[in-house]
Amino acid sequence: MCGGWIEYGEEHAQVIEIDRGDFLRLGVGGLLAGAVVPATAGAQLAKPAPQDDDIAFLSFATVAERASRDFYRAAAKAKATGFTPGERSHLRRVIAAKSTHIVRLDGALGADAPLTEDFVTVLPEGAVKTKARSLALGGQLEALLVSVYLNGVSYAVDAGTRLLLGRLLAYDAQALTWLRLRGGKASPAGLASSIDLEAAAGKLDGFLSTPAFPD
Amino acid sequence: MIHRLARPAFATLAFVIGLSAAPASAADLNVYAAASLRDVFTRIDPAPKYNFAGSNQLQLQIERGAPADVFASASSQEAQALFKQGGCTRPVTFATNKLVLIVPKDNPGSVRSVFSLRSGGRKLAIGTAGVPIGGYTRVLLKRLGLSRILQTNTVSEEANVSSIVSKVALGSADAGFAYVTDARTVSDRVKAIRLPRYAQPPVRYQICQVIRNGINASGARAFIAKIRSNSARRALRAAGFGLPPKG
Repeated sequence: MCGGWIEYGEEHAQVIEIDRGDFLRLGVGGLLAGAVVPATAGAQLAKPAPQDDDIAFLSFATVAERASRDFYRAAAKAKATGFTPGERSHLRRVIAAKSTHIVRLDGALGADAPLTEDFVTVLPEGAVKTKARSLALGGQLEALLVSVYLNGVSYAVDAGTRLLLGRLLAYDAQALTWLRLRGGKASPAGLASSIDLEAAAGKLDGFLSTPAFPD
Repeated sequence: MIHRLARPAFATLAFVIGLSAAPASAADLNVYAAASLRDVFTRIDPAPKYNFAGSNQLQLQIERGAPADVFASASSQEAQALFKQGGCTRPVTFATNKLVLIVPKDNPGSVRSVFSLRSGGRKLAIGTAGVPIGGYTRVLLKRLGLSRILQTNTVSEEANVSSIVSKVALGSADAGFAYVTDARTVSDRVKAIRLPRYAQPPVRYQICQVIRNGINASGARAFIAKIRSNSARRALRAAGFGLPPKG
């Protein structure tokens, strides 16, 4: 366990090894965000049944989460980044968690799920060459996801979809905090802002390529 | 004497046999293809008789017994449906495409991005729900959270992509959703606006040989092989299509 990370299963909370220092570093907000999910996880959760434009948030999320997972994979694989074994182990856990989240998102989308094998994640040249660069890029992707999830929990029509987006928001907010702290940045003092899909799509496009399709 | 008289008869017989044994020419080949393939198919092979229209219309015509030998659809749905009914051989993907938003060159509707359409009040040309371009457009709008623009703008539903492009090129619509390849053919009259990658539906063209009595099977096979050849792939690429991995 590294750096006060909170882990929880899909249905049962497992809050692990958080000492006082970790608590303070993560910030009460981040911790609460993580705690909300385990608290509700034991209860019967509303299943997503997206309506109208709810699909937009889920579609964006499943593609963006893949891009984010691909970043973690690249960072965990890169040899000279300077991540400690504990940090690498953390990165691998995030990869596993994100894979589960993607399955959930695709499940919620059903037949509307994008065929994500069509997308290839393109990370900027040298993006995971150093720890600092890795943390910066990871933070960029997580911040994008957090901002879109915030938008989603405000506007999604279906309660189950809102709940799923909220749970993902909680997870990615923690992931963002971890990356920021490892990069020597303080926990954000203010509240996170949401971003609309127009701006978010522009940011995500820079990380995507569709090699079998015209560009 | 008998020998001499028999000569022309044998020659005639040989000619008749020769005719019946000769493979049907390319001109006897009926190719039913999606409207968006018009320019590139006629460039790759001008010989066959072509019927270009919306893929759903072509599928229906073939199901009703139209004399098609080859069917090339703008999505896998139509070709796969025909295959499942036993109406054609297993379809193969031979090209891909993507959607763009097109506006007239002078852009009277001041459309800067697809999200500009949220403000409503514009004339919009889209495909009907049954035709591939219409289906793809609806998927794209859902993924962008923009389905409502079909209510807030004046929408004209077109039977195929050529009609959408014509409407926009002539200025009868402020914007329309079309394939990037169609936008290129009228680039002097329309401007193409990119759409977010994550929301792009996977536009895959599939081709198959129709199964029916009296089919020009050898011609159909030769045409499909030609469309999948390296030279055709170069022509498709030059026309702006994407290519699936060769296989």
